[in-house]
Amino acid sequence: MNFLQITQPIPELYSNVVFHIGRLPVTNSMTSTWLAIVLVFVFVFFLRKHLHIFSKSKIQTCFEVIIESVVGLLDQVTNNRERSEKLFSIIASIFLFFLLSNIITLIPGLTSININGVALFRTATTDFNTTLSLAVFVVFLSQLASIRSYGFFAHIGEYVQFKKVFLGFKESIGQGFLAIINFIMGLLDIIGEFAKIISLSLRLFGNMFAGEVLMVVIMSFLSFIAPSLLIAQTLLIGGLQAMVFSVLSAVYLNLALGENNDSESQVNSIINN
Amino acid sequence: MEGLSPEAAIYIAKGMCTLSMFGSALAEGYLIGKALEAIGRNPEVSGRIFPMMILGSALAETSAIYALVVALIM
Repeated sequence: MNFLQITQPIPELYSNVVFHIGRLPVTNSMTSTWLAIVLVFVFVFFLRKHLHIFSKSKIQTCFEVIIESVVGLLDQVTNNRERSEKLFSIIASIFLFFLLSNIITLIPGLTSININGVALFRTATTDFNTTLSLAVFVVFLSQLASIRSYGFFAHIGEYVQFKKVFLGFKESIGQGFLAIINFIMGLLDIIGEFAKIISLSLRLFGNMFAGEVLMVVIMSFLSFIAPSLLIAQTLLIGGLQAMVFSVLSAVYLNLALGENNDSESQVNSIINN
Repeated sequence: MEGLSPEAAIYIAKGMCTLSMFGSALAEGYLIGKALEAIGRNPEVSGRIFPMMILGSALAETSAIYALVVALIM
């Protein structure tokens, strides 16, 4: 009688434990994370075997388009071809991983596989742990890159600017007070680093989780045509949020690597031409 | 305010979370309007402005998404 509407419980914030390996509990978001990783590996090895220059397969063209667009975005961020090639491998792998794990549950029937009443797969990014761990990884990597390009003490000196206060008071009283204000701003930057982690991870998690909740709500109104529009939107949002995450991490890494000698390389290219 | 139960307070708070949509919608409208203005002034760079516009609107959405997370946790 009520066949137009399907009521489901709103999905939980945490993921459920499917089985144990030794003492390690394996949750359903972990299984889908590993499924995404395995799929990326299979794609990449398949592509490497069938790489052609002249008779391109369709899937190779598809991947070339993805790679070209990622490099183009990186060029807009870094303004330097050399550096964007340096950042390319990590940014592209973050992008491919999130793209696949966002849209992997759109495969029909994948979420209905149950083991003892617990779904085996769940969109990995609707578990906060997945996005938080990647965000922590990106921010720590940017810290390490900053230490490597500036040196350890110069990097710490960006946050705790004792030296600049000392130099400022040596010059004049006014400069000294300006340096004290900069000192407090530097301390705020430490909080800013943690805010980066929170904002990066919550953005992706919130978007994907909102998609799942919206799906349940729409299904309780009308469960026949309306969800297909929402699935299309999920595809779009999944790709977009993967792009946002990877571009923002490229921005952080680019800031950490310091000034690029862009004008110098441009001059060199003009001279060479 | 004696008759207000804790559950009712939670629902009121959840409703207040939707206020953040106001700021997010304003930001997105402003951003897309400005991007269209720029494209209208210089149509050749539309290929470079359009991805930045999409990126910016995804960023402007973020505050509403934070509010959604808060509303879901409550």
